[in-house]
Formats: sequence, C-alpha cells, structure tokens
Amino acid sequence: MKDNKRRNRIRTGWLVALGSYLLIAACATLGPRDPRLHGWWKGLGLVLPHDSFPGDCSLCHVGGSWNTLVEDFEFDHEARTGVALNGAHAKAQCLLCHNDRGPVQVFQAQGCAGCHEDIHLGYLGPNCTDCHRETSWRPFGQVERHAGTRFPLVGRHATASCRACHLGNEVGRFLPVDTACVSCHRRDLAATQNPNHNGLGWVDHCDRCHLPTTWHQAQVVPF
Amino acid sequence: MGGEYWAENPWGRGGELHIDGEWNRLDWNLPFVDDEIDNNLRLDRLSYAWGGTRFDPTRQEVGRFLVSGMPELGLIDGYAVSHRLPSGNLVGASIGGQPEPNPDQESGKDLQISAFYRWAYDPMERLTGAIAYQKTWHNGTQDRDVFIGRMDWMPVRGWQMHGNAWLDVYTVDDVGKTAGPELTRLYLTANKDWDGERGLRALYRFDQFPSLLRQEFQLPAPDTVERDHQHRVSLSGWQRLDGGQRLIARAGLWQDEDDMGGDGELGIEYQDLFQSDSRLGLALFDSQGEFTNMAGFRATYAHYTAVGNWDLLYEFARNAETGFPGNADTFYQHRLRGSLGWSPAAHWNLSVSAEEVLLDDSANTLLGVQFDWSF
Repeated sequence: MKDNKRRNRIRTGWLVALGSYLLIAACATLGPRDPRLHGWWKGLGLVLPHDSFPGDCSLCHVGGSWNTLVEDFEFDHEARTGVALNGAHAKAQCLLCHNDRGPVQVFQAQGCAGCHEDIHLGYLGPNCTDCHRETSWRPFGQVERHAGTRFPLVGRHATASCRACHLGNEVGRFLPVDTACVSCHRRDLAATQNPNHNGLGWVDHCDRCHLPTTWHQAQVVPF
Repeated sequence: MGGEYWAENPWGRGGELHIDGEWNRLDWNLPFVDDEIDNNLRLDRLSYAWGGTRFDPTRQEVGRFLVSGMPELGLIDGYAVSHRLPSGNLVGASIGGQPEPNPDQESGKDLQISAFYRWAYDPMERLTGAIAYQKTWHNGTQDRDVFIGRMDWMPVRGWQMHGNAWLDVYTVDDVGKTAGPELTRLYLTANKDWDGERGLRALYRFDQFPSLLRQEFQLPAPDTVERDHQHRVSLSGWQRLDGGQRLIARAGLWQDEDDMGGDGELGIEYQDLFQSDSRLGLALFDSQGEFTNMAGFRATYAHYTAVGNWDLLYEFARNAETGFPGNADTFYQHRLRGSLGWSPAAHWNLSVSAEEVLLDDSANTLLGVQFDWSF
C-alpha cells in the first residue's frame, strides 16, 4: 500500500513583507509634482492621434472621465491605421498600447515585444507566435516543436509535464536540460528495488535496457 | 488557478500596479514511489512602477518584477530605476533578491545587483543594442558575474534580426570552469518576410551550463557543467504557391559534447479546402536525436470562426532507439489530439484539449482545460 504524503508549502511571511514594502514605497511617491510637457519623441506626435476625429467628443466619450467610452463604441483599427487587431487584441483596452510610455509606432514595429514583457528572459527568441496564438497565451504544438531538438518527445515523454524536466517552466523558464536520463529520473532510480539498481551499479545509460515506453519489460543484456 | 491584476494610474499619479499569481495543486500518483499532494501559492508579480513616460524620463519600480527594458536579468524582489537620456538611450540599475525558479519561487537565498545601458540608433528604434552586468550572491557567497548583450535590427521592411549573449566571468573558486570569461549562451536569428508571399528564418544558438551555487537548472552534475554544450543551427522557410497553398520546409543540425544529429520537415498547407476559414496541413518529418531516431508524418486540420477555433492532429512516427541493444529497439507511435478554443461571450475564453499517445502496448492520455476571464 502506498503512503500518502501531504505537503503544504504556502508561504505567507515574505508575501506580507513584500506587500508592506510596496505600499510604503508607493505612499512615499504620492507627493504633488508639477506636470511637465513632452520631454522626448515630440516628432512622433500624440499618444493617441485624434486629429482626424470629429470635433464632437461625446460621440465617443461619456461621463466625467476621458477613459469611459460609449457602450456601442466602434473603431475600425485596420481601416483607419493599417494595423489589424486580431484575437485578444481586438478586445484590448486602447491605453495598453497607446500610452505615454512611448510612441505606438515604435511598439508596433517591435512586434510582440513592443508591448509584452518577455517572461522567457530572452531564452526563446523574439518569435512569440511560434508557440502562442493571438487568441490565447496557452502554448500549442510543443511536442512537434521538440522534434527539432536533441531530445524528440517519444513514448511516455510525449505526455509528460514540461515541469518534469524544465525547472521553472511554470514561470516561463525553459532552460537547457542535460539529456542524460538520470537528470530527470533520479527519483525513479532511487526508488527501484527489484532489482536494486544502485546496489548493482546500474546508475546511468538507462537506455541500454529500457525503452521510453515503460520502465517495465527491461531487456537485460550483459555489459 | 491564477489571476492577474494590472492597474494604470491607481492613485492618480500615473503609476502602474501589477499583481500576478497562481495557486497550483498537484496530485502525483506514480507506481513504485509514494503518492504526493503538493499545494503551491506562487506570486509572479507584485510591483508598483512610476515614471518612464514622456513627462518623466526616470522610471522606478519596486516589488517583484522583471526589469523593464532588460528582462534577461530575471525576476527580482527589490528596486529598479532607469533613466532615458536626451539622446533616447536608457541607463538603469537594480538591486534585490532573486526568487528561485521552483514552483514556490522562494526568495531570500540569492541577492543580485545589476546595471544596464540600452542604446537606440534612431527614434523609431530600428537598431538597438543593450549591455548589462549582473553580480549575484548565494547565501552570502559570491556566485555569478555575468555580462548580457542584446541587439535588435530591422534594417528595412520585412527584415528582423535579433541576437543575445551571456558571458560569464569565472574565478578559480568556480567549480568545473577555468578562471576567466566564457560564453554561456549565444542566440542569433534573422527573419525575412516578403510581404506574405514567402518567408525565411535562420537561427543559430549555443548553450552550455554556467557554474552556479544557485539551483537554476535541473541537477547538473559537476562534469556536466564542465563539458556539456550544444550548438544548433536551423533554416526554415515557406512559400505561397499559385493555388494559395503554403509550402513549408525546415532543416536543422545540432552538435553536443558526445554526438551530433539533425532534423527536417517538409509540409504543405491548404487554405479553405473543405470549408472557409480552415487550414489543412500535411507534413513529413525526420529527427535524429540523442537517443531516438524518429520519422513519420503528420496531418492537421483547423477551423477558425469569429467566436473560436478547433483543430485536430494525427501523427504517426517510427522511433528507433540508438542505445538499445538487440532487435527490439523500434516502436511505433500514434498521436491524436483535438483542441477547442471558444469565446462564449466578450472577455470570456475557454480552451480545451485532449491528447492520446498510442504505443505498441500502452496508451497515454493528456487532458487540458483553461478558462479565463479578463475585464
């Protein structure tokens, strides 16, 4: 009978400390400051060009805030700007791309990286659409893509969780992995008692006896 | 289960508040080893940033975040500041802890300081370069000295070139390395798109393990750190044919400390063959891996609508294990996958997938569901 082991690793102490630090720093910055006019990129124009829009602001804006648009607001972005908004971009808030952190022309020219921070830390290159669609960040085609590496995902590996080998994949890190079987299967090796692999010195080159379809039915051959 | 909250100007001062976290529960039921239940609450972002706008060229951020303009430095618990110079170039620095890349993202063991400089050739940033230096300590002991470089170049319409490099500097105390600088990673890619008619991409990458006290990788042994490395080069392209089909080809080569191999794929995509807004793809592929030589074919079919998409995949592969003695080294594999993406209402998205891998004497099933709501 297998033992059940329950591990709860919810850590709250550092969360509280970090949150307190954040709030103190935020409050410290809330003093009055004089607004200044454009400091840079004057030549690239307004954040959100309105010069071709009708003079009646109420056609689009309602209420006391410029951020609130009429419920039936429509804007044909592709026809008016030449840039199509596909997938999730069609529902995104205008200010996510059109903001005073920089000219949208620059963001657009840089592709995905113009607006989205690279959670892969530069390890996977600039072509986000290799793995992600514009409708969702959920990646697709990872098994097919792995065929272009030293380690095609065959047998059980085709349905294994990425985290089994790529430490930190939950937060977007896909760092290099040693392809030796034991680098991911160390726990399996330690638990094997019939026969006792460690006792017999069978601690590497698992592929001499095992196929990647199952640990059972190993072919034992004299070395 | 996860959530992300991003607020602009939450206190009327033009700042940005970013919170992102997940709760994960994992139930492990494996033969031969103990069952395990694991609950993790993971905080990916909790930060407040201010400045960095056309009104204020100095940007500051505090909390847990990726350094704006230099994400290669990794996730930081601390403080970062950057200043845009009148020339448009950017100079920045940061200090703080480095959460470990494990399911908890625990912090406290690693401390880093870093500085970077980002140069832009013109206001449109068609050519940019950046260089950063990062120094880390692990449990109070000096750990890593690394220089990171990055370059992006878009010389003319349709061209995009990108490169980045990590150069570690070792001392005599670093295990498995000789004192002095060593290239840990190099990534170079060039893309050319001819107005949607054809495309070409070249890629070269080099990787080897750095010598670290911090647990950044999956248990690399000392000799792995000392000698393991990998070169990879690939070329891929596509061409639109007269009938609207797309011909797709890819070829790659790799070499590591022990072996070398490669892969290739040739395919064709048919648009709107059986119905509008659909795509049928057929491909032949071959891969010479470290342990497995794989060859097979793949068929995919996808249909897109205004509210979602669905797609099906069937793949057959013959796999030959290179290290397995005897004549039982070959097995056949069928993969079936179906997925559905559906947006039932504005701001709601549902994604479901099911995958079955059929082997000679067993079957493996994988199910996935993702449901998200953004507002």
